Amino acid sequence: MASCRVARGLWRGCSGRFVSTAPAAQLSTAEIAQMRNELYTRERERQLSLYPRIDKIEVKYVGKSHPGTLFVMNKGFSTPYSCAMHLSELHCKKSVLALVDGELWDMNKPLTNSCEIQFLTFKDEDPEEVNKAYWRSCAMLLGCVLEQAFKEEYSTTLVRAPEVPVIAGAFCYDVILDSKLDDWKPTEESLRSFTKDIHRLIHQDLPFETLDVDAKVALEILQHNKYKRDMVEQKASQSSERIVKLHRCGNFVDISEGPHIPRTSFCHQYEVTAAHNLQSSQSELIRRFQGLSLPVALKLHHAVWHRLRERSRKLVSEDGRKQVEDKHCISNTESD
Amino acid sequence: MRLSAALLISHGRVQRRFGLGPRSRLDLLRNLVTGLVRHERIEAPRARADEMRFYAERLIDFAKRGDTDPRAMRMADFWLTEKDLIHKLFRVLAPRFEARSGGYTRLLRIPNRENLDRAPMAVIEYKGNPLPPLPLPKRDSNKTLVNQLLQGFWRDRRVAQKGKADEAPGSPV
Amino acid sequence: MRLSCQGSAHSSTIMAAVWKRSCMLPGVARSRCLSLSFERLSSKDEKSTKFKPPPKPVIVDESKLHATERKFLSPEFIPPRQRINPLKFYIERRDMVQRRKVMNIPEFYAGSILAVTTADPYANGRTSTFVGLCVQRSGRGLGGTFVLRNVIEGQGIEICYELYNPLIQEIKVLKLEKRLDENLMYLRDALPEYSTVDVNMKPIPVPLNEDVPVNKMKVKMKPRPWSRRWEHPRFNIQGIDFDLYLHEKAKQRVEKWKTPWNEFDMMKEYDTSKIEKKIWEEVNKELEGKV
Repeated sequence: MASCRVARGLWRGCSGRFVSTAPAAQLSTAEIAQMRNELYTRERERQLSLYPRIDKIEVKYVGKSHPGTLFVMNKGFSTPYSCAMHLSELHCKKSVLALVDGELWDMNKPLTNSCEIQFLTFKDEDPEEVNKAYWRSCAMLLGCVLEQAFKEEYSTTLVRAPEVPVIAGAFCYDVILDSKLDDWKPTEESLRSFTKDIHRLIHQDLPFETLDVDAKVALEILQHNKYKRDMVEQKASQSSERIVKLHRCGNFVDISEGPHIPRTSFCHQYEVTAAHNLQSSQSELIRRFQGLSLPVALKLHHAVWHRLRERSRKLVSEDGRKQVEDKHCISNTESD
Repeated sequence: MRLSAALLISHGRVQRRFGLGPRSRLDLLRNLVTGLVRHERIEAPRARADEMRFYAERLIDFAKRGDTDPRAMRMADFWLTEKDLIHKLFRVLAPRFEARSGGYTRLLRIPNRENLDRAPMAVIEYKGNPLPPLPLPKRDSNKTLVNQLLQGFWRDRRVAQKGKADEAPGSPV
Repeated sequence: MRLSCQGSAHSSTIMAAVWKRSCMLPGVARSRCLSLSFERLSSKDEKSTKFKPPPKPVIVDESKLHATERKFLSPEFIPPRQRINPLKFYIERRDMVQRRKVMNIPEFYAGSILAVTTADPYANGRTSTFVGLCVQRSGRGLGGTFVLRNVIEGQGIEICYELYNPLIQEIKVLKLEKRLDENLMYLRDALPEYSTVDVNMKPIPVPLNEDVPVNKMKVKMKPRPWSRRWEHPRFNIQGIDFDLYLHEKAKQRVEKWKTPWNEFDMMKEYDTSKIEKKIWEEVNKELEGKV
């Protein structure tokens, strides 16, 4: 544990130097990603070492299929997924989120206390939270690919993934590209190449990991991104203990609004459909990349899928249709 | 397996063969239809239930013509081997399905037969019967991901059509 | 046009006779022949006199003359019960309506007497007319056909015409009636007087708004064996009184062939009433639109 701390100190020193000299301009995107990844791994190992002894907790399953099942699990190690493994393979495959004492819980997040557990699937009576989580995860995949897709000389800055309701038809990720790319318009080909990259991730079947970290650590991990730092601050101010949830998929670390699906292989159909330029007061041009995806559990006929795909090209916004109408107004006034 | 009555007719594969020939086949189905009209829900081998389903539905179509129609009466007389059921067909079942056109029966697969032949079985019933309901397979709720996407799609399309309709009267001016 | 002659007589001479006769028929002077002769006349007189425009032909819409209240849909419009894409039949139907706008195809049934005028593809401007009894209507869509039968100079002749063949110039109903059966092919085995039609027959007017009369005639057959076993229940022939021709053993055999349960097999019947109504509306809308 001591060595850990020393290492952290070192890193902090390094990062401080970077911040003081020049903001991340020297580091390439891949190096930043690697650094974030290493910091995340360290923090996770530190948190794991908080439980040197294996303690047992009792987890009660409240669900229809196996009423009254009681799991005796390891504190700080066992996840809802390991509970599902005790039930059946079907539970492992279908469960997207867990409801631990009424609180939404990632399938891959270790349980810390005795609790009651329940699993949520795509085909529940009211799968709204699950849908949100799915949309969020798809957006995160999109961000992951967007960050790595461009060449070394072009910097990409992820802004955030707005929480778009499912009924709007697409999820999205806001990105600021290098100022050299301001005139660049993504063609069908480039969107397709993004899609291909994402399908590679899906095929790798990467887990989505979750970590509760202190705001300081989160700031350190996401130090190179102004917008992410703001978001960490905002999140930290909301919780009393200044704790922030970080998510990792593969080697991409991100902060987002809530829980995620367990693995990337839950996605079946996935396509990056459009990229829009957002009007913003700042000097930088914010682009909104949009996509559409469906999970394995809910496949669609290709004809319907094509219709939905066409629809997902329209610009979406967090509050549904309002912004789209505003945009129409803007374009109209411009044309006049 | 058959898909629909229209597809049956092509290629000469019109129907399943049962019993000892065409006559025997109809007799066999006739007994099943009679049983269905009497009990409103019966268990039968899956193939027979499926085959009989068409006849059970067409019989209702005939019954809707009313008992004054000679052809309907002849049909009922042939298909119901127990003659007291003719009254039930015209007086109970025909009024029950007055509002519907087709889809009078429901077929549900059940586990294979337990005794020696382990035949695949099915339950067939007339809808709207007084028996306790069957455990039907559940449909996905409206709030699943796909259904939400589709709802959004239809909403957009309605709005677009409305917009078009609003524009249309203005355009000739 | 398919032509079949029966017996071993010299068919070519007989056909020549038919043509000669049909050209002599008073009612068969065709407008096309007339117009040709006009042209020839005008070209001769051009040098001497001024050009005179030929008199305008008076166009009489025959379909309006024989407008009836009866709803009749030609049987070839009804698609067979099978898996073929309905679009095929729709497209064919449009072509059929196009043809019907140009040429009036009247209502007729098996048992009606028709006069059909066709162009002769090998003789320029010549036409031939054949008068006969319609014994069969078959084919679906554009390929609809009908068979005319007549006995001419002791020789039975059957010609199968395609309804939508562009060579056909006119179809005229001389006598509109039905028989007990929809297929009268058994007339081949009947005595020749039952399929003999007078070639110079005058059209018999039909009451416009009444049902088509049914001729309940029972046909007298030649002694057996026939070309087919017409007594088989498969043919379901009402127009022959079989008691006169079958002995006891044959009657027993007929009993054995019967399948009375087929009547109750509801899946075997093809109810065309709805389709018929839909197609009739579609076709009639098109046809009434013609000028």
